[in-house]
Amino acid sequence: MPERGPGPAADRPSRRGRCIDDRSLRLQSGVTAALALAAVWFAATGLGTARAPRSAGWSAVQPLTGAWFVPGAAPEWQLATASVAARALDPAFLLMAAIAALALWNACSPATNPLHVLFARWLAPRLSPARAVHGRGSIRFAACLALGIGVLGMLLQLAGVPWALLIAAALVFAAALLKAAFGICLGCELSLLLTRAGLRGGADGVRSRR
Amino acid sequence: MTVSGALLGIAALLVLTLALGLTLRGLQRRTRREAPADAVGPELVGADALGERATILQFSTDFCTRCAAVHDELGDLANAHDGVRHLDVDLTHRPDLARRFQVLQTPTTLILDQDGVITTRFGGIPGRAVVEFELERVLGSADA
Repeated sequence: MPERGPGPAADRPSRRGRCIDDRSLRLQSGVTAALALAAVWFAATGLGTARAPRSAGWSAVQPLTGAWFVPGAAPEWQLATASVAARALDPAFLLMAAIAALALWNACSPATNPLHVLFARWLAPRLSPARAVHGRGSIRFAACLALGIGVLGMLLQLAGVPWALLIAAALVFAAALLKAAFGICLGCELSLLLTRAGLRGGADGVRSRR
Repeated sequence: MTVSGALLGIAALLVLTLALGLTLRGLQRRTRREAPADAVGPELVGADALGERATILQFSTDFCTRCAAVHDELGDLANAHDGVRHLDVDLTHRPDLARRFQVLQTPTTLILDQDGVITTRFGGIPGRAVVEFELERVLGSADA
């Protein structure tokens, strides 16, 4: 029997207009996963993890520890000696920048994200109505997570830290693939745990049908 | 890193991610009959009353993507049965309830009998037929 509950009435139908179809975000996650996988590849085979070719005939001493560096014994990271421009022009870095740009776009204005516009204009009319939708809050939360990881990886790469970009790209890839292939939104699961820990949330609310 | 090493690493990343996805999905879709425990009062979830014969208690959050669709589905089910009430609680505002009912995912749906005792718990998106079956079981035992 339908009864109206106390507290704020169901506000979902009115909210739905401003929400983004889950399938649009899964498509975007698929694109992000592909970009991240390419970034992992370039980081693993390129500058991010490469060691300098062994060159004999010189050595260096670390004054603080007094440790000697002998090129033949332990080749140094190429990234450490590369210029900042070379670190930024690494294909893995550029791919990560593209991922970060898309995430930033979603954090600010998900409705105008080019991938979403593509989905809304070409795919949505051919599909059934949305069964699952994302509110602005969850999209921003997920986008900020991806942006944070991506930017951290990029900054560490600029600072000359090897493997950092690869690890960041792998994390982004895993989260994006979970969303694209399984529809699992890690950020949403995380937010519930944050709520339980009392780090999110506000006044009371209960909704009843109509 | 060599090309073969990179390929191996990417394969390992793919396998780990897929395994994590399958595990999480397996954990998410669970229907469980609950052992009779303390009754849930309407005031606990912020409602004035429970359903006369049974209550479908849904837990949602504002970040939950499928809660709205599940809300509509469960509302239809409650409409189709006399004395059944559907309550949807937004846990974003009630972290105490998330802890009290150990909700680790949304939507999580409970079926309460006429006395407010939890009989069944659905994790994730519940199948309509399963909810209907469990609801009718509770209604049947209420009439008996």
